[in-house]
Amino acid sequence: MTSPRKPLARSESVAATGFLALSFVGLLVFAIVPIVGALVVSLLDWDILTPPRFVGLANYAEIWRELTQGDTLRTVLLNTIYFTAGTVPLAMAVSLAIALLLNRRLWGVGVFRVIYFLPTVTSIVALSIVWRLMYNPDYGIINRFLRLFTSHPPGWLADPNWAMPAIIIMSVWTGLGYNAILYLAGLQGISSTYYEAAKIDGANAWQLFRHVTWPLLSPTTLFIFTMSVISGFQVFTQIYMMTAGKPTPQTMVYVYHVYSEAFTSFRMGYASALAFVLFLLILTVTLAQLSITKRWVYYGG
Amino acid sequence: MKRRRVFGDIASYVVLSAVGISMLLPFGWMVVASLRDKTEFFTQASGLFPSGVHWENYILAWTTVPFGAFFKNSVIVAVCVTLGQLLTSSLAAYAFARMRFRGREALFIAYLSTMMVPTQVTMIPLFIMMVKLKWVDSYLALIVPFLASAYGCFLLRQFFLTIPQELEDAARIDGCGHWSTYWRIILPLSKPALSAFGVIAFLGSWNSFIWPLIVINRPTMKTIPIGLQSLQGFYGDANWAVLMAGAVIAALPMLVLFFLAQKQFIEGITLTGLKA
Repeated sequence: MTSPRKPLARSESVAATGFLALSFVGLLVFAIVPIVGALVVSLLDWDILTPPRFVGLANYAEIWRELTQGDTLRTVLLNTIYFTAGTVPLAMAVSLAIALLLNRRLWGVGVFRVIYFLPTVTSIVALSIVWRLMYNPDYGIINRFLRLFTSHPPGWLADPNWAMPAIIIMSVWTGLGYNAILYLAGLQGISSTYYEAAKIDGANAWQLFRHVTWPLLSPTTLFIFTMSVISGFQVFTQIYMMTAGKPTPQTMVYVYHVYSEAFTSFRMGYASALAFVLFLLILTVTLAQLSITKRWVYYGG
Repeated sequence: MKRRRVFGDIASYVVLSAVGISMLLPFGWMVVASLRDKTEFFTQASGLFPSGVHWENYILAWTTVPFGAFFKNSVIVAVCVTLGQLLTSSLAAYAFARMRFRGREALFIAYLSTMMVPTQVTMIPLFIMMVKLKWVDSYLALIVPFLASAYGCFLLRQFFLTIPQELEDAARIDGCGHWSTYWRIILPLSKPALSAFGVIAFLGSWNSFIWPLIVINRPTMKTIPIGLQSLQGFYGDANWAVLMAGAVIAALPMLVLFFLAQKQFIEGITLTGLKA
C-alpha cells in the first residue's frame, strides 16, 4: 500500500508548488520581506536620502521615554484610545438596535438595508469633505440647526473639546450600516426553535433578548468588537481629511503620527519603530479581548 | 397581542426611517451644496436650497484636477488587483483545500500570520522598496504589491472545503488532473465565494487611501480618493461648491455600481465579514 502512495504524494507536492507559486512569491516579497524590513529599519536612523545609521534600540528607547514622560506620543496614544472607546461601544449599540429592527422582517425593510449601506461603499474621502462642511461652526448645516435652540452651538472640528467627538460621530455614522448588516446576519443565523421554546415558557420580549438573542449572538458581537477595536486603533483617513491632527494635539491619532513622522519628517527608523509598537499594542489588546470574552461567547453545541 | 404587534411595527418603521434619513442627509446635502453658488456658503441668510442650479461647479471641479485620469487610474488599478487576487488566492486555496503535501499546515499558518500585521508596519519598507525599484508614480506601485492576498486564500480555502469531495473523485476517474479539476469543477462551483471576495477586493482597492497617498505624487497618476484629496488641498475652505461637486463625482461610480449589484455587495460583505 505504501509504494503506490509515495509517487502520488510526490507528484502532488510538485503540482502544489505550481498552485502556490504566485501567492507565495507575492506574500513573500510584499508581506514577509517588508515585515522583516520594518524590523531592520526600526533599528536605523534614516531619512532615505542620506545613508542609514545603525542606532540599535534607540528608537524604541525614545518611544518608551515619550510614553512614560508624557510627551507628544502619550497624548497621541490617549487620543487614539479616546477615539476607539468613543466609537466602538456606540457603534455596536446603535447597529445592534438597528439590526434587531431590521430582523422583524417588515415589508420594505430591504430599502433600509440599502440606505444604511451607502456610507460603506462610499469613499471616506468624499464623506469627510461633506462632514467637514456640515461641521463648519459658522455656516455648517448642523450649527444652523442647533442655533434654533441655542445661541452658542459647539465649534466642532475647530473646538478642542468637540473635535474628537465630531470625528467619533462621523465615524459611527460611517460604520453603522456595515456593523448592522453583520449583526443582522448573526440574528438570522439563530434558529427560531429557541424563540418558540422560550415563548412557550412565557418569556417576554426583554427576556427573549437577554436569554436567547444576546448569548446566541455572542460570536458575532465578539467578532465585531475585535475588528472594530483593531480598526479604531488604525483610524487615519477621516483624521487626515477633516482635521490633520488639529486643533493640535486633540485629534492627533497614532497612525497619523506614524504617517507624518515617516513621510513629512522622513524619520523612517523612528516611524517604523512606532508602527511595530502599534502592532504589539493591537496584538495585546486583541489577545486580551479574546481571552476575556472567551468565557461568555457561546458557540452552540 | 395583535395590537401590540402593530404598534411595534409602526415604532420600528419610525426609528428605521429616522435613522435612514440621517444616513441620507449628508448625501443629499452633498448634492444640494454642489449646485450652490460659491458665495452662498458664507451667508447665514442663504436658504436650505440653492438660489439657482450652478452646474458650472462640476465643470470647474472636473477641470481643476484631472478627474478623467483619476477614473482611468482607479479602474485599471481596481480591476487588476481584483483579478490578480482572485487568481492567486483561488490557486493557493485549491492547494490548501485539496492537495496533500509536506508542510501544508505550517505554510497555511504562515499565510494567516501575515494578516495579523497591520499595514502601517509594512508600508514604510514597501515605500522604500518602491523608491529603489523606481516604481513611485506608476501603476506597478499601486497594483503589484497587492496581487496576492492571504485573506483571499483563507476565505476561498474555507469555501472549497465545503465542496463535496465526491464530485472531484468522479472527475478524477474521468481523467481530470488537478488543473482541470480546479478550472472545471471547483471554480464554477465557487461563484458565490468568488464574487463575494471579488466585491470586497474591488471595494478595498477602489477606496484605498494611505498607500496611493504615499507612492503617487504626479496628478495624472492619482486614483479617485487621493485625487479628491488634492482638490480639497487646492480649494481648502474657499470654494465649497466645487469641493462638493468633486465629492459627488468621486462617490457616484461606486454608488451606481452598488445600486446595480446590491445583492452581491451586501452578501459579499456579510459573508467575508463573518468568516474572517
